[in-house]
Amino acid sequence: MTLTPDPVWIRRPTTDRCLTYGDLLAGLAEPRLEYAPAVCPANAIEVVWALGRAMALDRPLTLYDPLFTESERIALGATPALLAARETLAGIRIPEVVSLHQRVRAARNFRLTLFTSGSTGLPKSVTHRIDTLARSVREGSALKRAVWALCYNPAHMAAIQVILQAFFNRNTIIDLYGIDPERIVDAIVAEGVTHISATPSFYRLLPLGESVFDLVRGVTLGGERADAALIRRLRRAFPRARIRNIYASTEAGSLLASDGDVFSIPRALADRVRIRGERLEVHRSLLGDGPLEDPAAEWYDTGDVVEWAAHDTGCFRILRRDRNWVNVGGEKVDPAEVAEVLRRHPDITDARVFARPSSVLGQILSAEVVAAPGLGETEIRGYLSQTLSPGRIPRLIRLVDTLPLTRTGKAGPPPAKGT
Amino acid sequence: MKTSIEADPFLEIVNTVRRNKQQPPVGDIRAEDHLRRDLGFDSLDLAELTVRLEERFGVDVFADGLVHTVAEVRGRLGQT
Repeated sequence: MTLTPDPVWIRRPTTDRCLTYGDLLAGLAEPRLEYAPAVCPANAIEVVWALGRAMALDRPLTLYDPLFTESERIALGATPALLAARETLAGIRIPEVVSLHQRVRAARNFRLTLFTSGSTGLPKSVTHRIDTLARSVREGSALKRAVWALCYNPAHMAAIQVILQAFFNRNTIIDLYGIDPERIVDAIVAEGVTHISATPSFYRLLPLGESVFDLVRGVTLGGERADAALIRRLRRAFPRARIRNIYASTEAGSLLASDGDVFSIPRALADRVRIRGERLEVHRSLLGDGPLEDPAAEWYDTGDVVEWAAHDTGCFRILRRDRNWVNVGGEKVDPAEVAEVLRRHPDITDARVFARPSSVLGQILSAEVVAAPGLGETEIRGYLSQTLSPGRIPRLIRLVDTLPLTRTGKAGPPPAKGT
Repeated sequence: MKTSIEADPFLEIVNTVRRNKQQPPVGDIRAEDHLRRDLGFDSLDLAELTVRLEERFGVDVFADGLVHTVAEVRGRLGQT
């Protein structure tokens, strides 16, 4: 096998910035190096750099989502002092990336801490070791020349999966996160992208037109339920691609994959993933540290409700989250939390937050607010933006005189049209 | 094609979405204006625009695939 001398690990086509595997190795070989154990990354290249160093140096790393508001970051402990902290470590000489793979697989102290939306306000931390993070990484000669499009927020679990997938195959990632969809379509062709992993909302917004992308061999959807019409569009645009749905979470990493919307529990996980009643449960050995509220519990209730497609063969569909969570374009939002923030405003008496179906993002948040005279929608938005990231701010805010009796924040029926 | 603000509920809705993200209103919108490039809408804004248009006109402009320009939206609303 001939190896390219120094393949690019990640490249952002809009800025032309890139990081090669050689850059990582050269950085590690400095006699004394400054290691940052807590990072609030400005972009995907910073995530790749931080993650690569953490894995190679076998040190813990915490990634704070840049979309957190300042108050969330501070509440989670990400003070300016913490983010500026550096450990001085001795450098290590690693001749080439392949030997780094073995080192990373054997890492004992490496931990990655990420955050997930909690049901009671602040995001909750989940800490993973390399085995749960890299459980679903595929390796092999078929992936030797793969080029991965990165379309997720780089501080989220789904992006980490793409970064590790590329790392263990010495592949290149093209960072397309946050880029105008039309430029993304151009970049998929121009950069020779072979594998794309993204949310259904991401694909829905791609102006695919009549274009056919012959080079793309893998199209993965995750984070939300994909509808049949979207799958049909994707099959037409990516005729040579295997189209797969994945079931993954911040708590457990990537767990299940399917060719359509029907999942089954693979043999290797048969005793660690189960369906109780109609809920999907995951054994604690598959989880990172953090999600189990009861430390003695063996099983974690994912909150995902399933329906049997064929009970005798163990095939099922994942229907919805049963925890009041709303999925806004792949971002999991708890409406009760948003309602709670609204109710904390001194001039707001009561509030109700619920999901509305959206053909663009699957769901968007809507709010009904009982407020003192003089408090308008603009002020309410300004107030929310101090504490909530953009995806968690209701896009429709209606001022009302009274609310219906329950105020659980549960998804209610949308208000009548024309009101 | 230029449209005056008083007579155009679509323009009104565009400006509501812009106001909600602290952007100044636009005085007019042209048929060829691109929702992302010219009006500065991201995917959350497009979702909001769609829901507001549906409330007003009873039509989900994104239901049958993507729309990019003002003319395409008007087409879906039956305004052409």
